Amino acid sequence: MYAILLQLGYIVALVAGYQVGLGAIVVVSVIALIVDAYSYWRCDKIVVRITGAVVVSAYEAPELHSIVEELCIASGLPKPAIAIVDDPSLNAFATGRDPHHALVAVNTGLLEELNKEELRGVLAHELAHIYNRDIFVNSVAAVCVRIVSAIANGFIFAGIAALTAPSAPGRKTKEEQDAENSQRAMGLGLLLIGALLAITFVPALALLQFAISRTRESMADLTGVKFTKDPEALASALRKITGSDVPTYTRAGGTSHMWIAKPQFIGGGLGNWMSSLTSSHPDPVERIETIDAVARGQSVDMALAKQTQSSAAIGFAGLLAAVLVIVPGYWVGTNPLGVGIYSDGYSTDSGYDDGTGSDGTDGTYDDGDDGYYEEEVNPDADGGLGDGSAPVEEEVPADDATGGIGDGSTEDPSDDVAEEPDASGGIG
Amino acid sequence: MIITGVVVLAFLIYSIIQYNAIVQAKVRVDSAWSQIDVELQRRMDLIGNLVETVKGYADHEKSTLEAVVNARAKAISSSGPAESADNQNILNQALGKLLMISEGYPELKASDSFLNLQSELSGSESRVAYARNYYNESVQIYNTKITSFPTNLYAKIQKAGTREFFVPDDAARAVPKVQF
Repeated sequence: MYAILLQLGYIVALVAGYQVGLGAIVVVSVIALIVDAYSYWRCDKIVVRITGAVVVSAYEAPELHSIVEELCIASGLPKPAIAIVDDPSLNAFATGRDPHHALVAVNTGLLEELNKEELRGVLAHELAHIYNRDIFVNSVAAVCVRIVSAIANGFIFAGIAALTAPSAPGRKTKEEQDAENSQRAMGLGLLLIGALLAITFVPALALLQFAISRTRESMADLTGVKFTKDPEALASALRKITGSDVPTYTRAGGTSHMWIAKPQFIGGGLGNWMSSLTSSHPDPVERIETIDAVARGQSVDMALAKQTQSSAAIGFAGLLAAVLVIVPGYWVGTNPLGVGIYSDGYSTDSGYDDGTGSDGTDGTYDDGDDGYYEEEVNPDADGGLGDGSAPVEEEVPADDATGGIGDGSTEDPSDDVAEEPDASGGIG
Repeated sequence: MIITGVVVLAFLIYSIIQYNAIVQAKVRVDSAWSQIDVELQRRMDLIGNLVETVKGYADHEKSTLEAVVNARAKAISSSGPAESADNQNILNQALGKLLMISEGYPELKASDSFLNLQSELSGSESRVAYARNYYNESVQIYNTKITSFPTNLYAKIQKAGTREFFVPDDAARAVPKVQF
């Protein structure tokens, strides 16, 4: 919902110029971070509101409470709040930022269809999510995907803005014409990088996010079995849950990763392979098989260690990929690219150079900026991290350029870029 | 110079984290142990009530009742995981006998308080079992931590020794087999 709001920021950038677009990367992702952090912090309250779960006391649901109490003894967790969702589908979820603010909710369908042991197995799975801090893990994964896609969008919109910026009217000097051409070239570069990110890193990270969610589900199954020592009950509960075809009525959009089974909505129809990649939950048959193996005597600890390792590996790969995009992406967003671009083939008399020129670095600046430009546009898809920081060191004032541009804009002689310095000053 | 500083700082932070992790694991073992005590105390109270109830209907089964009372007293006063486990076993046997003889008293079997106590007792037993489960889990984590390298060095600083499992060793090893 607020994603649409954030896209609006980029559309503003489309009008206001590419530098706003780049700066918007930072603004948009910081807003996304704040919103996500807030919804993580308050997730127990928010999810209750979304799903319509009703918190029940020990008097209202004594059996449910006694099962959860037993499991809390088994896991050493503080007792979470317990809620019931009035929904005939067989499902349950856990939420809460930490064990002290946790909430476990079960659907009425689950209470009706499962026996006590099966219910215990499901509740142990939910408590295992709390125990393993899966709500935090999933939130971090979601934020990474969101920020990387914000960067890709920012590049695309900034690129479009630079490409479509109206040409300055009237006769132009050669320098002005060159500047305009290089702006167009940079716009194309940004657009390409953004598109490249949007078709590689963004979907790859989204798939990793799903993969993480799947391993966390398997971990929760096994951790839950460790609490109950009763794998048969969980396997039988999962059979009942997957065998049931009652669709979920609860508005669970965006919360599917929290439920024990993927909420079934009406619609769908993707290929099997696609849906296995983009599922927040592992294949139910596989899940039941793993638990059955434990029931036959396979070590829970070994199975759990395997899942934990793959979860950690996926998480590491995802974080690394996200950092590879986020760091250079932010660097581009906070260091106005225009400085490098505009001085390309340009002497020191432009408004942009004034920004840095006022720092008295004109002499070294021209030397550095070729490298600045090339290293900037090409490698920031991945390798820009190391390369990008080097030019900053040799021309420290480039960092101040954000601030400096504000000064520069007052004496900015060129018409076609007059609006841009103001805008980037506002963001900086 | 800076590199040395960073390395030393990283080492210090790592040491503090590892040292505290051992302390935390130890605290977890202790609290797991006291949780067993809490659940056992609850069970002892229930057994006391059960004995009183049975007395009302079958006062002449003195030897069986006394066996339970004595075993209960012994279980309460026991110290240390191994001794506690042994005494609990004796108590369980006596309790089983008591429940068996109560089969011969239809009035007792039908009485509300007896039925209530029986169901509460079985609930309490599973809670004790879960508490032991958690204790053994905690001991396993703690013992692994203080015996494996390099965390054992930090364990030596605070003179942390290994803890006893609640059940005898061979049974503890059988735990991952999952029979319940």
